[in-house]
Amino acid sequence: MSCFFTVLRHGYRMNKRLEVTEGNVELEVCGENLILSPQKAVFWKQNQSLWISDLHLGKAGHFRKHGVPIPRAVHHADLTRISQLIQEFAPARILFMGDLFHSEGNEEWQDFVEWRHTYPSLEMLLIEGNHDILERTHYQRAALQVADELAIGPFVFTHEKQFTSGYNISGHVHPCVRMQGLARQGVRLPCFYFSSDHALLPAFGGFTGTHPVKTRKNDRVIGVSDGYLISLMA
Amino acid sequence: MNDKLAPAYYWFASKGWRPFPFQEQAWRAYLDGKSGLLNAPTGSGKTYALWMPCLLEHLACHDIAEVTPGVRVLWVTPLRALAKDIQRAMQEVCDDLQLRWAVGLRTGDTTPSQRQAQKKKAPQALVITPESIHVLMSQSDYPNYFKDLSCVIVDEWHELLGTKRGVATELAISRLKALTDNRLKVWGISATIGNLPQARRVLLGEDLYKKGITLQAQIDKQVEVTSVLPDEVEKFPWTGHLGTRLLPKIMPIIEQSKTTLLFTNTRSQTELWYQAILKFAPDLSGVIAMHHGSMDHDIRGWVEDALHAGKLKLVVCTSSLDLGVDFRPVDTVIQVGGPKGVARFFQRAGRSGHQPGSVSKIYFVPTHSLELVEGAALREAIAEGTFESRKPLEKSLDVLVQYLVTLAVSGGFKPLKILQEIKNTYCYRLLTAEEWRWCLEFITTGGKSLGQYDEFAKVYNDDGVYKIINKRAATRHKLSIGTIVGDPALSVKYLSGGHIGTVEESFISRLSPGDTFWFAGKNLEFVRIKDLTVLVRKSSKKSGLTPQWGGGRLPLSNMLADKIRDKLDRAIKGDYTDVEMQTIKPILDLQRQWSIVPPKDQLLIEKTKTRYGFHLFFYSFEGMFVHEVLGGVVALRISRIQPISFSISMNDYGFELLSDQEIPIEEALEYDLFTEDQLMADIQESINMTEMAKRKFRDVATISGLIFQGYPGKGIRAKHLQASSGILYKVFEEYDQDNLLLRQSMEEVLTLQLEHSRLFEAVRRINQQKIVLKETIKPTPFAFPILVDMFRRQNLTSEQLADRIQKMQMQLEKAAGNQ
Repeated sequence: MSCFFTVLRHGYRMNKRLEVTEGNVELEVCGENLILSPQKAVFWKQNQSLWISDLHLGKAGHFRKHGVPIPRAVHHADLTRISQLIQEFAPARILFMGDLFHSEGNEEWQDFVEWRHTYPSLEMLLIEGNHDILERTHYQRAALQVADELAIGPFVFTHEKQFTSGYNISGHVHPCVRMQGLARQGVRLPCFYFSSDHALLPAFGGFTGTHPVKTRKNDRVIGVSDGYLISLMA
Repeated sequence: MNDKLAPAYYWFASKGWRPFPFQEQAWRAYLDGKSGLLNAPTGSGKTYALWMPCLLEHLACHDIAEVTPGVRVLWVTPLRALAKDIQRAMQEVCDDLQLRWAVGLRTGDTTPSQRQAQKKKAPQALVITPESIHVLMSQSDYPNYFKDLSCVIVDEWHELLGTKRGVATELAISRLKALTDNRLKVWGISATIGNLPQARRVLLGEDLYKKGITLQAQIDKQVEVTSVLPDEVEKFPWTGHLGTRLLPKIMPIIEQSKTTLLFTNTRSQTELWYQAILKFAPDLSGVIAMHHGSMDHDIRGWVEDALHAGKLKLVVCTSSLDLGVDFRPVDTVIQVGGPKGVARFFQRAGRSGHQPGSVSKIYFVPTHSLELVEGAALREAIAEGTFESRKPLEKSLDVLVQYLVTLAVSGGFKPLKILQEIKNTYCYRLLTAEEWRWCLEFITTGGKSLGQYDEFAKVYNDDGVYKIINKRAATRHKLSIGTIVGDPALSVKYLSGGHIGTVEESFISRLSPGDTFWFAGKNLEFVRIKDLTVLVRKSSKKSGLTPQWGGGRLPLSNMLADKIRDKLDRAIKGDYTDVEMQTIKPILDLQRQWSIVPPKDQLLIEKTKTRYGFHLFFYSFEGMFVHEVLGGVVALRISRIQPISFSISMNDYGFELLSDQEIPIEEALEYDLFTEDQLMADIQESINMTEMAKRKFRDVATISGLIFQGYPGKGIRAKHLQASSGILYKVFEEYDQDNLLLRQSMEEVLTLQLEHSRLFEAVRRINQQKIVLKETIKPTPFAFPILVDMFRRQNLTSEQLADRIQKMQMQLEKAAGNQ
């Protein structure tokens, strides 16, 4: 049993109602149907696209290069998780919402390129993030289309949150929500965040941190924990 | 021999002093080439007991004019704040004897130019912190630098024992022994603790401790403990409230004294008391100061100097003034709130009354009236001479990893040789071959899980010598030796410039711009955060929050808990000889009327209902940490009978379960609520062990070099190299389960945080006790202080909090009066 549910069973000291779902949660935003996965990704039904934000591949290698031993398996697991999502939703395209790769090129980029070419018919787009400092040729070889910003239907995708004409979807901040348990225990859960005019996606990568988001009334916050989605109702 | 001692007698005579027997014993033992431990309190002349023979040894076989550079003596001190004073005292003896020895200072504050000078022309003695020894050991010529060393003296060893800095000291000594062909003498100075023989063993090492001796300064220091008694005890006591109300009784004590140190238990308490005293006695402004570890270094230095000079009437302080040379003007010590341990209390008492034969006076100010029991218990423990032990750490692999990389930076090491050395330390005497191999692998290939990758660059095995080649990695390592681990601290500065001190990130993150808070005795308005700096401006508002610094709360020691149970037990039998017990008799009487006062062989559980819900109170008197875990286990076990959720509160005397539905305690007791069966499994399930281990892992990861905290003072962090210990923990947990640093964190949670041996002892004791369940109409006097703890966590301002508690207190007092 995960530690999180130990806390949950004793009850939260929160004035919010929790709804725990095992597996996906469907959500309507701007009249579009979104499926949130506890794998920290979103599938947009109408557009047949899979949204993945802040993968930070290559971060482990970057750390190793500087003498901090982080196993490469972290990123293999990330790619395997995307493969599973591809199997589950059979998307026509994947939108990487920035910070796909953490540093200059290293062997882990090669791992990604190899993985990418196992899905030749799948369209992949990268909204460039602040960590994406690779040369354009790298992206070309990986058959990745690159853009700063992308507008499809009611949505405008950017890496960092921006005020846009459409409903803004971004990553970058690695949003999380803090839940207070008993006896001074608390957990931070990565979360999806939907407000009236913008949404934040959780960081997908296994080697990423989180940053708490401030929530306001009527915001929808959906935390992620071990295969479960926890919706907080204000 | 007496010839050799002559200069010492001459020097003492020139000061008009006579050496104490223990000082003479120390001189002789040292000149005999012995190592050992000196048990002497602060202010007893311990410095001269061990510094003098270092000089005598030199004078015995050298002409007084014959002085060559080279370090002979390392004087290790746990606090850099102390170093300056000790260095001054040591230098003074040299100068008086006209010996041209230089006593250098080497701490984190030593400037680069001073360091260069020390490198070029080594002083004969260095006053140094454990970290700085390791920094010196990261320089390539260190074997040469230390080859003339004849002695390492570790001051305030009790402070280092049981900490990772103590382990670092053990490692440094093991290396220095080898560098000097084991001619090195090792001495420690320790205040009284319960395990002095073990303290000696840890310091001297497995190869030396049997030959070492222990010397005791037979200075019978008389300590007089006086509790400050309230005129009228409130039958429903609550923490933090009574203290400042006793100010009218405390002020005369301060006025009659020359200089008073007022100790509080936490930094935030220090802030609150400073405010309260200034408000009560505004004429003290100018002669009152405060001192705590988060304040700016220079301000603290100023306070210390003013103390020496006798310019201050009162200093409100925390443990930051526990150690150090004497502040001679200090003649009175006041302790606010239970000190939670006998040794600490005794040491604080010793900060007053330095003149030989004079009495150290300490006043105990309870923060709630029940705490008076602690006053009585403390007095008795001191009279009997029972003190807590400090348990040394074992197998701290993070410190070992850091040490190995340090040696790799300075020219490399041969594993077999270093292994032999460290097997002679107490900490690593039981290190297994497998653990050793893991450490070597960790620094060379990064561990098994990434062994096949060549990108990892740290330590190379260069034909049997382990070395660092990567320059940047070496620099980063040097900078991270001795970084102080803790919640990321942000420095607090005025908008107009001027550093005030540091606060923890977790406190600031709760503030919004415009909020005000008390810090270093000033009311500050939070403006914004910029580059790890909190910018503030002065505020004229009268109210504000007080920062809570981490690590503030200490649990009641085992020893003291036992004494408290004893005191209550005797009160039940009618023994009210202590004035403290006499004072709280009305509370005990009411407690007995509404419930019982539990004797030693009973565990009292009270059940009651208020408008907040259904309460259970357990009085096991085991200290906060044990109660935190025990509360979790009991809650879990009850919830197995029926689904129920609780909130848990605790203090040092007991814990409370609160629920919105009736708690089936009778049934739970029938099912053997406190069984030892499955206890460990239930602990793991009830508390978030992983979360706790993650927190411990922050220290472990920083020490072992997994996290680079950045360049000291500059707030610059390595770009793209930030990862919190939480993420690292998660990654290792998932992909590198054999990582021994993870195991160490879990181990530290069990032994240090949960005090699991103490927890098991507590459960065993409970199982021998008779359990008494009392249903009470209202919360009893014992229950009240735990009950109100609930409000404390609701983020109320102190005024709102006081208001709410007082209302409740009045209702209960009324109920008691009506009976």
